[in-house]
Amino acid sequence: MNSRREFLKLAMAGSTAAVAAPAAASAQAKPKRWGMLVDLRKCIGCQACTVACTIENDVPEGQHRTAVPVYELDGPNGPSQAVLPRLCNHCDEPPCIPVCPVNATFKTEEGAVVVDAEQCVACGYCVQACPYEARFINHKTGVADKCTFCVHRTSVGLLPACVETCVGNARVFGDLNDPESEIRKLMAQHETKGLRPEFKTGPNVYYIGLDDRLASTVAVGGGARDLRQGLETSAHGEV
Amino acid sequence: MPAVDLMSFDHEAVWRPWAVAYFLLVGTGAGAALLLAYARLVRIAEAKGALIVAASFALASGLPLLADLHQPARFMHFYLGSAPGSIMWWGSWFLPLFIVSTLLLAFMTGRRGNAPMCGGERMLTMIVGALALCILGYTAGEMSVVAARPVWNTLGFPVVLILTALMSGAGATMIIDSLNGEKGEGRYMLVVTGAATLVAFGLWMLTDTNLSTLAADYAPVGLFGGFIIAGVVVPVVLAVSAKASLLLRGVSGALAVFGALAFRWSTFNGAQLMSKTETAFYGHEAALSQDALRTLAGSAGLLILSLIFVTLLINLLAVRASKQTQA
Ligand code: SF4
Ligand code: SF4
Repeated sequence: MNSRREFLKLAMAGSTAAVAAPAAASAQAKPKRWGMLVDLRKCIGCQACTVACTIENDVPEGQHRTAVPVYELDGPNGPSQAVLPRLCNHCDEPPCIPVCPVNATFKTEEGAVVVDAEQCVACGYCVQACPYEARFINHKTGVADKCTFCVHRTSVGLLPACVETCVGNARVFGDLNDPESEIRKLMAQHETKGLRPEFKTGPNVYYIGLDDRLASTVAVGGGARDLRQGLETSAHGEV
Repeated sequence: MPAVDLMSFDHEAVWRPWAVAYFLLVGTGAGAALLLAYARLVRIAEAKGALIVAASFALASGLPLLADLHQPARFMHFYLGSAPGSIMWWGSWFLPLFIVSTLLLAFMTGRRGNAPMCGGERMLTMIVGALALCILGYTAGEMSVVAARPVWNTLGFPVVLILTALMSGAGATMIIDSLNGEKGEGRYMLVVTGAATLVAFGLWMLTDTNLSTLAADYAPVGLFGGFIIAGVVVPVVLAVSAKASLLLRGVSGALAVFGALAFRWSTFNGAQLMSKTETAFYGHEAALSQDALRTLAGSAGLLILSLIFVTLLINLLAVRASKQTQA
């Protein structure tokens, strides 16, 4: 059973149950707590998720709610390529929330961290406070922006756009409170890691196959960025 | 080489040069306010230069702060709710109180003319001093609590930020005093805070690899040339040697203000160009881009207008007071 089908089935079953017996449904289950698992063994770095998110959420050019940087790692058999889909981790202890001076950013009941675009004064304090560079000031709306786990889709039983579009089924989305959800089952079967554990933010995005060298600050030396900056410099005829 | 980025995504600096201008202006105003409180309450001096600097720098600081908000028209949201967990929210209360109280003090000082200070003015001077401490505390705290910015999240950063604010306050006061043909109160404070800045910055540099990376890779000219040499060592030497020369005192003061600017410029912009998820620097911005030049010119213009306003306010009220006394 793949994650999309299971999610839709569960969502539809959930809404039918809610219609049939709302009292029983509310008495019964723990509230949902959304999480995402990224199986790096399956990610091919195609950026379909980056594009799907950009289109779904009307993210301006040059800004991203999710993206997949590509790295080269040294291995025993020479260099190998590694990809790392990044997005907001919808942290349990998000440093972006307490700094907000106008209470514009908060956690929904399902655990997604979101921004009230009407309330945000766009001071950028939350952008500074997020250790994952998951936030930015949106050039079109002029307020803080970030991944919402596609709250507009998940609230009507759909999957986030990045999960829906992932060609390798590398992104799995679901309810971390449900032991029967695919995400929970996969987490029980595999070793998973979160990014930047040193910040103790309790991220709710987990990775299978995450190389320790990419978990914290990436020890980058040289690389495309330096090469590009060098080329830009020489193109401008500067030393 | 453990990892190389083959494809990565740049993030722009979200606090723009307006933030540098705000922190410089409000820090200088707070530094001068503390000098004013010390001079008036301990040394029983008038310290008019420090008062002019405190009130005019405080007045000029509000607009750059608003300009750095990407939604300036929504500034009322700060006051329509409460967020005591956010240091920025506290700052949104301290700043207007500081501006209003320094302007009120300038008004009271002008209105009494040459008469001795009354109890109310002494009390207001104390309040201005206390609010200046709040301003220094909140600005340093607001930045140093950001664990995701390792250059700011150290003991060294808030200490040097506060020391340079005090030094800049003393320096700006020395400029105004020199222009007024007075020796004034700032020299001693500039020397003491300048020496303390050198020690604090040296210890910070020795113990923090993030700062040394920033200094070596991004801002060697700004931090060593602009800040330490031109902005701290030279003004301290000039202040020590300029016992009688008003010109040297003025130059020393101007360089101290420049030093505080160079420190903020290098550490605010540099830290935001240091990637949080990689050890790379994002695109090296031109040090004096058009945006930055506009900001500097706008802030300087605003400051000059504020200085004229506060000086006129004090002097015109003083003239009126002396006329009333004579009548
Ligand atoms: S990843 Fe960043 S933006 Fe998302 S919840 Fe955590 S701290 Fe906040
Ligand atoms: S940018 Fe908006 S959401 Fe972020 S801290 Fe400022 S007001 Fe809050």
